[in-house]
Amino acid sequence: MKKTVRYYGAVAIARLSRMALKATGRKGTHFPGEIALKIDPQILGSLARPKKLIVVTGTNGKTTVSNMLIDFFKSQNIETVNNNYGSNILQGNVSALLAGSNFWSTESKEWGILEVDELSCEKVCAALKPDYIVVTNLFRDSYRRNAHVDFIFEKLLKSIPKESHLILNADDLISSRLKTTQEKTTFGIDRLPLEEENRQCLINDLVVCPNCYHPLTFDFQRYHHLGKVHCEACGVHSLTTDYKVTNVVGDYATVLTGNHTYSIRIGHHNMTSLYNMIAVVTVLNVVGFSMDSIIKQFDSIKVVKSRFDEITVNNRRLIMMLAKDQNPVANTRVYDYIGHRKDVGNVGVLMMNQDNQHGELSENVAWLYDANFEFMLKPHIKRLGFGTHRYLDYCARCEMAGFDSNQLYGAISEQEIAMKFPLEGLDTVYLLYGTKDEKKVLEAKEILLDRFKKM
Amino acid sequence: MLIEILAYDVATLYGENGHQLMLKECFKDHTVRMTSLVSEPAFVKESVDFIYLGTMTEKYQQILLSQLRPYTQRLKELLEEGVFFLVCGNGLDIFGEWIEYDDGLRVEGLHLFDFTTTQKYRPRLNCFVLGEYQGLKLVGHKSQFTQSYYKEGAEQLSFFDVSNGFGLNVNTKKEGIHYKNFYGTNCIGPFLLLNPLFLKALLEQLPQPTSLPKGYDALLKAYNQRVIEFESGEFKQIMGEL
Repeated sequence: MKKTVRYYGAVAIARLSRMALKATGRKGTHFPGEIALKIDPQILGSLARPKKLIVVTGTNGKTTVSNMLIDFFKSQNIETVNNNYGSNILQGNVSALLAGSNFWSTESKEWGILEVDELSCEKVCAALKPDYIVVTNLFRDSYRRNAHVDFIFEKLLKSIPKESHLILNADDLISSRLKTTQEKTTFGIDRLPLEEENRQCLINDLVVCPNCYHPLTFDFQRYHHLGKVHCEACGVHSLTTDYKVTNVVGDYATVLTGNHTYSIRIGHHNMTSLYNMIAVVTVLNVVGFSMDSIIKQFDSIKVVKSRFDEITVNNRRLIMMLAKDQNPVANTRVYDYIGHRKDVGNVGVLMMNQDNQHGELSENVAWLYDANFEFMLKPHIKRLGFGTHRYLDYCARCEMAGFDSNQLYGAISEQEIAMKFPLEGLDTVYLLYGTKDEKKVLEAKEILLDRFKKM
Repeated sequence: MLIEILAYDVATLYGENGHQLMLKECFKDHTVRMTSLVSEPAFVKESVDFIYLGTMTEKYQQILLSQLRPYTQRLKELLEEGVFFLVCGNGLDIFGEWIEYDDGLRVEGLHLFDFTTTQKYRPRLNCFVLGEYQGLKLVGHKSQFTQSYYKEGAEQLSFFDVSNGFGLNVNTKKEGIHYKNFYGTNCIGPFLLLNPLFLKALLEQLPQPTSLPKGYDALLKAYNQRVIEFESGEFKQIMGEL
């Protein structure tokens, strides 16, 4: 796109703002991009684009997948234009493109890896025409912003340029239906040994066939709508999987692609991490890296038994887990993990992941009824605590799930619940946190550890 | 009694699973029929006492309309007989005259009530709601693409008056539809779980005894807290999407 006076003004001021932010020690996330767009709303189409561009989008996992890709490229001494320090909305992507190019953004780097929010894909993909677009999955997310999966699907459908090579999750019949005739490669995970055949959750956004609306048959339902599915009426079925995990033994996942089998070291032992891993392996191989180089990089990753922060004090374990605020799917996955994990003795679960913007808006707690608290109704889970303004809603929901009222504790603040939550008889406390109020969560963590020491 | 949950498989957006869980508990000594999107409803041939419909995608709204249209007359009969209806979120849209979608498609509704609905993807409309029905405070949330309009000249059969937030559309403080035992609202929450006093009053109107859901006391405390907060003016409305 031809560069205008407005463009040059926008770039200059955005660069100045970035220098100012750096000088004051702030990372700035999307601020330079915000300024640039205010001055020149069409700037995205004029900025220098990396020669090869990978866009990562989807509901869950896009940050992890993007970061893993960036790390791999770094390990190969390849610099990338990326937004791993910034935001994934339009302004953040503009900031990233500015940061990765020369002063007037006439030249960029060889490679770009951009994490893009689903609603921002329309503008970003239309302007930049990515070479590769990875869609990790599509699930219900924020009610206020993302409405429902159909809405996001339609948005993405309109956003994807026909030139882009798609990398899709074959276990997700919602996202894998994007642009059925376009060049694509799929990834997935076979049903693993010891996996239940049918794990039903409150949320399933794929109950009827997207083609004929006949009830779908799940051959294997991993969770929510992920799995292998077919329609008995019209024959629609899950896509075949080009890169798939077929087994996990110890710290290694067996990956099958074509007729070749590979053994890849995994950093974490849970389904979310496996999906992230296989998505990354697929992207890297598709864009041209050899499986040998990919395996070598994964070999160098420190194996962590848990993706979570585990601290043991005085024979008591505190496990910090991210459970994204008001996201019913992310929370259900965490509750499922906690419910299944039996090697940690008697458990208490503290939740501090409510988006608590008291005074600014009143948060909609409807997501509580989409999350499977029932998955924690297990003998080893003794009590739950909620450090949130809306703790009464949590208590009501958990009673409906089957918990006894005397197993439930609540307080309006993170600190208060950390101080008063009964620890007697517990071997492990899970502390679930969200993406906000990090300071308060860390204070609560210290309170708990202090209490552990004194026991 | 026979309770029917319509489109139980797809009308589950925005926490409406909560209504399904709650109804099964409140009516545990009765028969709860779960009707899927494409099944013939129980109300067609059986004597139903309570019908519930929740929130769904626009695509499923259109399919459900095509499924229910043949039974419009039967629905009118049930309405006049005083059968209880609880309809939440955009489930209410289908009971009006028509729905016009963002792409220009206009779909005929069930014509049970005199209102029309327009859907626009931008802006997404969000608010919290404080209202009053027969002296009882009601609270809820809205997160929707649609706005409905009472037909000019027709009787406005509104459910409740809104003092904070918006009603059936952003220019009215009249919310929902109430006619005989039909209660319809665009509010989500889930609506009955956010309004336990209204839930109790509704259940007491039914011809046979029912149960209150587990956690009712906590629901009541949460409701009381919410009413105080919403009345205080402490919360700002942020109407558009974040």
